[in-house]
Amino acid sequence: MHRPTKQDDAAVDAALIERWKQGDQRAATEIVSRHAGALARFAASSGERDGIDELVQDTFVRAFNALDAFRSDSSLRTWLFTILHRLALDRRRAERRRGPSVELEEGHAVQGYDALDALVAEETETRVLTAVAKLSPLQRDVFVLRVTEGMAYADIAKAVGSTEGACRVHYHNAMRQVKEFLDDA
Amino acid sequence: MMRDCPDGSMRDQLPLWVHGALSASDAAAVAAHVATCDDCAREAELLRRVAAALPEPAIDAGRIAAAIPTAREVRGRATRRLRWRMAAAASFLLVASVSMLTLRGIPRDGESSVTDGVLVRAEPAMPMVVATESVPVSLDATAGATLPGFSGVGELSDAQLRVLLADLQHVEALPSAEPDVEHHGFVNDTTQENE
Repeated sequence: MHRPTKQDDAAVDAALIERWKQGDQRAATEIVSRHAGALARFAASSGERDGIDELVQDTFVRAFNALDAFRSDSSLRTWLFTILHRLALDRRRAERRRGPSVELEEGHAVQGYDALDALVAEETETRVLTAVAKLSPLQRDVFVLRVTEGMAYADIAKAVGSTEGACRVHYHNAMRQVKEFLDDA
Repeated sequence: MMRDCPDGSMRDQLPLWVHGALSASDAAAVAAHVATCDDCAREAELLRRVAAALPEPAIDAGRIAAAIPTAREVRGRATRRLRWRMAAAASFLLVASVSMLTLRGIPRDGESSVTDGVLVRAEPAMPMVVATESVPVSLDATAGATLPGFSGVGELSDAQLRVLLADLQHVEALPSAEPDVEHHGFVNDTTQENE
């Protein structure tokens, strides 16, 4: 089966954006269908528990309002990840100002995934989730984007506002920690 | 216990290989390595488990799509924002210009300045002259308004301000740019023409 390449994806996204600019609102729906799932998974894996729908929606609304500023030096999906990551950070900062910290530190992250215990049938799956949840927020974001999206370090760096080299280090440190956790468990 | 393969570049490629994001030639090279490397084979299996375990929450894509603005709405908002910024910039320039003219236009002893084309020279013990385009307004001596060294409205006494305000009320307003059509009978004329 032919798997779409990055160039294929970029061409499809560019065509959809052009159609939306011409007034075809169905193109916007197609763009949402192509990317919403990945954004939601990234948000959930990053520790967002409530309001993932709203976060993803805000990401799209903000993106479409600024589509003229979108340059094709990165893919549309990378750009959407960048917006979502910033929105999530803003949201966490706002929540921190409002009350007790909800930053997903290690302990909180494990508690967050504890709720999944009842839902996840296989113990190994739970252990993997717990291992990922124990990573620092930035390590987790880099790791998730690399593993679930197969993104290049350069694109991950754009999405999380870091450097390519730093992302490489974060990924390998995260992988080592996950292995150690699973070995100890 | 899981160990790390000493080939760092190969380990770097594993997540992309598992995800199917490598070119055909790179994917073939990684597959050949994994076939002979237990460490990489185990790491690749772990990556598959991680990717499968990370949740993809159900979201309402239809609701999200419905919230997206149309291109026309986005363009309209951008145009309104641009107009508002231009209006704000113009207002700022106007206020700044008026402030500058006001500051420069108030003559001190022995200085002269031009305000709206009217030359004003300030002399000691001379009544202050407020020059406007149409009607000059003066504060005469009856109000005790000889103002040597006057440098601003803030220095005027209550009596002087009252006189100044009374004089300003006599200044005619500028004519409206739009003629009053009813007053000039244009409405009736048009009606007759239509009839």
